[in-house]
Amino acid sequence: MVNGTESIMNQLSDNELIKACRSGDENALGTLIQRHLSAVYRFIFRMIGDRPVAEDLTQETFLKIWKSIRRFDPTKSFRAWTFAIAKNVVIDYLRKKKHLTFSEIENDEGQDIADTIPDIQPLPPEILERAELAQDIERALLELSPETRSIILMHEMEDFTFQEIAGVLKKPMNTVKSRYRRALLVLRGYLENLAPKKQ
Amino acid sequence: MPTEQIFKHLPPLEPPPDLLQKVLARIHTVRMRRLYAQLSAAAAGTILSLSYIAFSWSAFASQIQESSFLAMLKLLWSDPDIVFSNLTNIVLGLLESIPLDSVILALIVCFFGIAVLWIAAAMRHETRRSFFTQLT
Repeated sequence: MVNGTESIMNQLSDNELIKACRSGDENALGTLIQRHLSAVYRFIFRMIGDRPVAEDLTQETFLKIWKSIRRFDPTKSFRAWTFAIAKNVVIDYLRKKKHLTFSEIENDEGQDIADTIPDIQPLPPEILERAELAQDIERALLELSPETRSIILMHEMEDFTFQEIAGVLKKPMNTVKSRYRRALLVLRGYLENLAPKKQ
Repeated sequence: MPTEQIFKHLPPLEPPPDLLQKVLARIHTVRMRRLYAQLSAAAAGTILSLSYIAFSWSAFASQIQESSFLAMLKLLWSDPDIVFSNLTNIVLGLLESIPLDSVILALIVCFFGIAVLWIAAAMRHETRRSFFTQLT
């Protein structure tokens, strides 16, 4: 019986589940959370780099989603809304921890030379051959400012379009694209700097 | 390799298996906390209004006695024919003779009482639901 309900719920769209949630359907809430749990956890973990904190902030995010689900506009994407809440939860946490590492490029809002630089230069093979590459990338990501990091993670790990990210961050799409490009350059620089140290 | 492809080197990441239960448990805790707060407010309202009625009971009773409300109600049982033949007048008379203050107070007590019962039922449902979630 429970499995039957579960399979029916799995076939429903986010908006249908939200409608059911609003009328007090607990199974719909469970399915909705389950559907987005992995992506939100992944995003928060990569933003923070700490598993227990990521777990706690994931719970916090879904608690906020549950509290404000009645205010969700069904004409918009639930996934984008969820990530906007997750991003705010992370930024609030980092603010409280006074851990914000604003990169020098973060406050530069104007058009930048980086906007026009396509990232066509391949990374040196010695970087890619390193066994600890994954850890280096995670460390390099933590060097970016939270907002820039969220752009990279949403675009690269969760397949968000720049348009969707602009919606999540409430920023113009060109700003998002520009920050993305600059972040890639910062990451490249960070990884290239690591290479000679490790050899 | 373009820089954006380095992210393919990051290992896949899955949340801990009990995270969903933890999220649901946290939502349940907040729900219960809200219900306790509502229950406390409704219970306090019931107690306060009942205490007020208890303190002003004599005034309440005399107000009812003085008004012709009870006499008119009695007429319904003793002489229904007269009531039905003069229905409009009787209804108007009843409305005029209602001790409004007392009725409002009684309605407030009823409102708080119903709220207490309703919240208690919601809490019972919430506790059962939480138990069911843990089982599945």
